Amino acid sequence: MSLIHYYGGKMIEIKGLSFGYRKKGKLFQNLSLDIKPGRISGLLGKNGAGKTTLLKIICGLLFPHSGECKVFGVDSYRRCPESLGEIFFIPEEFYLPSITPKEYINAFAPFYGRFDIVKFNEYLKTFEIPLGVRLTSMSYGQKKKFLLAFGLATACKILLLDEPTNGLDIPSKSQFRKTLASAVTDDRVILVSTHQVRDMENLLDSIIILDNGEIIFQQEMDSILSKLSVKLASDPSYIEDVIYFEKTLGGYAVLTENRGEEDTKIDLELLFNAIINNKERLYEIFSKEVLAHEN
Amino acid sequence: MKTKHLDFLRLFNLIKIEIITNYRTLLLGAGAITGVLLFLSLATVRSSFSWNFHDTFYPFVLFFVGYIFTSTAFKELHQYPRNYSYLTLPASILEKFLTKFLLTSAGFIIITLIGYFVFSILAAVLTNLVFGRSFPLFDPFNSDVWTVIKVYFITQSIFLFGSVYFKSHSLLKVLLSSFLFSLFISLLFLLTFKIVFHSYSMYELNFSVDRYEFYQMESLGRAIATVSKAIFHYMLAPYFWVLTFLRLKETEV
Repeated sequence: MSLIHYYGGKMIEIKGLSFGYRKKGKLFQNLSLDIKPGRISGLLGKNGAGKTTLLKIICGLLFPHSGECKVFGVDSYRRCPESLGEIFFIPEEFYLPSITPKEYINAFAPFYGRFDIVKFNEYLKTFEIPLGVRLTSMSYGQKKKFLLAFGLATACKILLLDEPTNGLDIPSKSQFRKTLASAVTDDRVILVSTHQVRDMENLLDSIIILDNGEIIFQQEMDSILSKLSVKLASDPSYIEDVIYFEKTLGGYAVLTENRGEEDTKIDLELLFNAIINNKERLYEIFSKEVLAHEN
Repeated sequence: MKTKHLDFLRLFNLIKIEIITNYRTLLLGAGAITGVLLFLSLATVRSSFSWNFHDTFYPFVLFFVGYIFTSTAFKELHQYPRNYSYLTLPASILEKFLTKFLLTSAGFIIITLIGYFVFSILAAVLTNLVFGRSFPLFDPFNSDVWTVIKVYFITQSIFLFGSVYFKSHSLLKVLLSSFLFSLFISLLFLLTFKIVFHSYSMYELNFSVDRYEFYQMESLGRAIATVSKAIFHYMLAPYFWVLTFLRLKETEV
């Protein structure tokens, strides 16, 4: 029986998690999070908010001080091989040994039971990764794409990416977005921690915002689009229901409540700043939906 | 065999990773050591020392190279971001521990026995060709060799623990810790000796101990020696293996 069936589909479950670093003090206190599969979730937050730390806790590189972080029902700190076999973590900085891609596959692929060599070769082709050179001779971007190709080919149920677009050139970013979008399946969690929100626009299906060790916002993109809209204006004071605005070239970018069910595009950077600066107003808007559901 | 914590296929795959990722360095090191030993065998073939060559250099290779090799066993744990990929590799802590333990103990012993034997054949052929003199072959089945191996097998466990415990310079830190520990034990014995023989002056010529007291002390000494030997042979290595395993289990990045 696979781990997923065993745990009834709940892949990552974080409850009452507390964690801190010795020198910096408490980072998370009583943090709870449930990440749903079948979508790409973006984990956003300021520097030091704890995005990378949270990813490390999920894959068992750091241990919670209290509370729990379970992956397929098993505490992540136990680093159980069955759950590790279902997680692939690509950190911002990573290590690749001084061997060829072929040797890497020979050494590491056997740890992932569903590793698909055909798909791996397809990804390598898409990413234009040279096969004959050692991994250490590749550029940072090539290494990252190699690791991403490997991670996707493992068919792991949980894919954790920390700043995946850092170091990628413009064509690679586009390839990355297309490849990641095609890798979404109903039983897969893809969690992307990033600062580069512009690189992730149109790719994320849900947004999780972490601030001061707390999840301050977690919404599906569809819900965000139906409730908020972005307008460009020369003077924001003439616009109704303004939540937040920022000066841009030639005017103001204004985030407003979407009352008319307008079909708009959301600027993630504006949304992030709005949540950081005016979260009460956003809670008010999004709680209407919760209340409507409850009624 | 496959249990929750031990799957022989995964263990085999972990060993394969070690070989694939390290074989170039290992071959380079083995080549360098063989070169130095060949040079030394050629330099000493004319002297009578050549007949004791293997008694000196086999233990040297086993201990010196073995301790260095063991001290770097868990280098992945202390190198960022290498530790990320090592700790998230889907294998149990027991399998990760066993891989390092097997490679640095049994694996290293077998490789040095075979490698050193091959070197001794090369040295014998070379010295005969160059100087027309015979050079002794290394006998891997000699009982002295196995006594040395036994001591290595036990003591390397301390260096294995050092490699998982210390973030850097683990070899030097283990040597320093061992020296300080020996110093502490020596001082403890000295103190005990002082307490037992406090009634005798150091400069007293007529140093006599009561016969009954002497037998009592002798049997106590023998008991201490037996216990110490038992601790060394049967408890020291398992103790450090358990510590290594626990430390590995608790390692965070």
